[in-house]
Amino acid sequence: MIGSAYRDTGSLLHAFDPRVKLLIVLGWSVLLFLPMPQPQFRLPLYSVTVFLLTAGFLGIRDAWTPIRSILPLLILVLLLTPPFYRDGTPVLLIGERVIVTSGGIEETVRLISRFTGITMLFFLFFRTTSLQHVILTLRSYGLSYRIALVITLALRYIPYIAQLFKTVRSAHALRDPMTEPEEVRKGWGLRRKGLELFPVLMSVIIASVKTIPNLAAGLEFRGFGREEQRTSYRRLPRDIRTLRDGLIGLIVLSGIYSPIILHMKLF
Amino acid sequence: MASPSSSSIEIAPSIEIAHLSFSYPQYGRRQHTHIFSDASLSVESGDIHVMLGLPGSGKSSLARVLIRAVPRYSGGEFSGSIKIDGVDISIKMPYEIMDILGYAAQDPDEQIIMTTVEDEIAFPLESLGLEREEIGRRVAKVMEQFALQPMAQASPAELSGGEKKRLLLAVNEAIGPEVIVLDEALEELDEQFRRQLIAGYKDQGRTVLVLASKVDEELIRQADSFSYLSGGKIREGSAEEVLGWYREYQQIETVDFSKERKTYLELNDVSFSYGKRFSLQIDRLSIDTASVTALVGPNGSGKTTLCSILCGLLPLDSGEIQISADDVSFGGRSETKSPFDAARKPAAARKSGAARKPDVKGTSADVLRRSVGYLFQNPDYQIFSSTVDEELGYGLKRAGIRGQDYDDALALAKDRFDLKDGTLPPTLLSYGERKRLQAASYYLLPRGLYIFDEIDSGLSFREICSMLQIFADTGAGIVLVTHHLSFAQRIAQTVITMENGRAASVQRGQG
Repeated sequence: MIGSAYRDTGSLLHAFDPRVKLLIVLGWSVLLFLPMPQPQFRLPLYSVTVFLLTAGFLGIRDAWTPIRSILPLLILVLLLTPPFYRDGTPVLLIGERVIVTSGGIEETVRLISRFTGITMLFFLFFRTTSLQHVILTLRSYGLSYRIALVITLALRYIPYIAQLFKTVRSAHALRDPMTEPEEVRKGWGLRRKGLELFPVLMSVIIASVKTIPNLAAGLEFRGFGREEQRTSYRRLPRDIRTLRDGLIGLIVLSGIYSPIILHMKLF
Repeated sequence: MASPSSSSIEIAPSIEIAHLSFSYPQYGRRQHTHIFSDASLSVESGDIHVMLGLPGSGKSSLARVLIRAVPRYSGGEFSGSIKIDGVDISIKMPYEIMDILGYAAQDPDEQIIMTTVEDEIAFPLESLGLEREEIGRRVAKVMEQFALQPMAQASPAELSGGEKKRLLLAVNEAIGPEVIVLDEALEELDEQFRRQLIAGYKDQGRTVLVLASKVDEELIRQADSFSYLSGGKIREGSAEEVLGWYREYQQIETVDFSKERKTYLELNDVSFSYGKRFSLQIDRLSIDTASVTALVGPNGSGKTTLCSILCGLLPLDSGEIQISADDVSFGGRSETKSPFDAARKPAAARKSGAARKPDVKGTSADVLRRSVGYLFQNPDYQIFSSTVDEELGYGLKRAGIRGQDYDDALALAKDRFDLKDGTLPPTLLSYGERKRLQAASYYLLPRGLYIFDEIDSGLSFREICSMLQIFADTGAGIVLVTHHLSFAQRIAQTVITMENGRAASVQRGQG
């Protein structure tokens, strides 16, 4: 299992203390679910900010990567949420039938903002933090090595499957006929897309499942399970940088939480 | 007290396999076969031992038995004993033997765990409980030794196949076991690196078991002992004896083209980059039909990247690829009466009776994808279906081929690629059989050019040559990506040497 979200591009975020990074990610994620004034404006603002931060630190191409992977789901949310959410005032009517309400739009914005925001936050964390540092970070918060490794590998499974999906889809695409006869093209369209997706997904599932014994064997042959006390090559910094990054983290979290705290005091 | 002379000291063999029998669990219709049947082997300490065997003969299974992954993760019936440096490992767990036995797998993706090259090397050293400073020292040393420093913080996913193998070898070197098992691990390494590696092992007095499906003459010269794996038995012998048993599978035959050679692809000022780490720049290059073009060069020189560009999987940063579809009649042999030929023609062409020509113009990725076949190095990424027949039929169905034509095409492809049972699930096939299935699937897809990425991984030269001849008969062009320069020169009409993302030289081969 060699796929992972991590890429060493040497950005400032790569050098940032991963313990603080994880706290910001978790803090920011929780924020997206807290009651806040005018959530239909604030929630997208928080998500757009994460997008801009990602683009600023890693480049626009990287920032687009997680969005592209969840785009089909976002489109589904966009299409399916408004018709099924009937609160608020009617916004779009066909004859006397209410199609979209203000509540439906707000709910759609809320769902898309939360989904996009959380995806971007965790992408940013895993893109800029190596597996070893993720393990060390989880251990620094009290988790045992084995549990930290298992959690980390489980989280790596998502980008691995995404990469596998890309490879398998490419392999399928390479087997398209030079010219598609009319009888094959006929009657396809959306159905064709669905039919094409099925074998790709099946291949991905089979390949993913096959990875498990290989990964287990790989881990054991690299010493996972030995009785010796495990040492650590990497260490999280414990110097002035930790203090600096902690301070930056505090400022960021205070900055994004202050409107909520002020709102709670006011009401 | 006089010390005993060296001749009187009895040195225990480093690897001692005695009466090994093993068979995988029986699944479905696949017959219960013994992978090993009372197999024995003895390798002296400090020997470089080469075990030759055809693809599918059980070399990878033997390696997995040695590292205790089999039968632990596969199930199956196991008997016999295996000793490494006198220690019976047949009752040990994999993590208990990691410091006495090193291993590099045929497919490196199976073994790589961590997200950076440096962490991958450090991981097993942490498991051994080494001090941080010692880990740092060993990591730095092997990264320099295996030329991995420039990619220390790179994700292993970004490495080429050969670089991944170098990484696995570096991990072994960092751990420092006395005995190392290399399962086709030298296959994708350039020749100079291979030579230096084996010489290094000899200098260190390491015991190395090299499992190989092809004879590397330099390796044979450097090796001390030999064996041949076939029919579940291991036969030990001299180099001459083992080569004699194996020779017929090592013959490099010429690939003959009956059709006229024509330019198929032309690349002009093509450039592509993976961020700052690697860039490919091809000023001018043409690739022909009815000929073999070999792409050679060291690991990471851009061979696979160029192939991905040729078949439209990677977008160009700049430049253009022209495809010359006119007058190319590969596969469209309307004058022949073979049912296979009829099936290879798309339905539209068959209906009109016209000789098939690729319906392609311009240079879009979609056009390239449909005109250039690309057989990945790892066949498992291109095998999707639940049976061999379904796998072969996938492309035919997409091309609208049905009925008798479909059945005839399937039968002929299975016959030509020696795929006996079409009802078998591909997962039950050996690596070599899966490679043949992958090739057979592409054979049923008419293309002007077929790219074989590291085809020599897991196949004997004889198998490769006969497979290429089947493709050559269609009149298509063949691009071979290989690390075996001598093989490339023997078989190819054109040999392109890649270096640092550039086509450093284009020479005539002997093919």
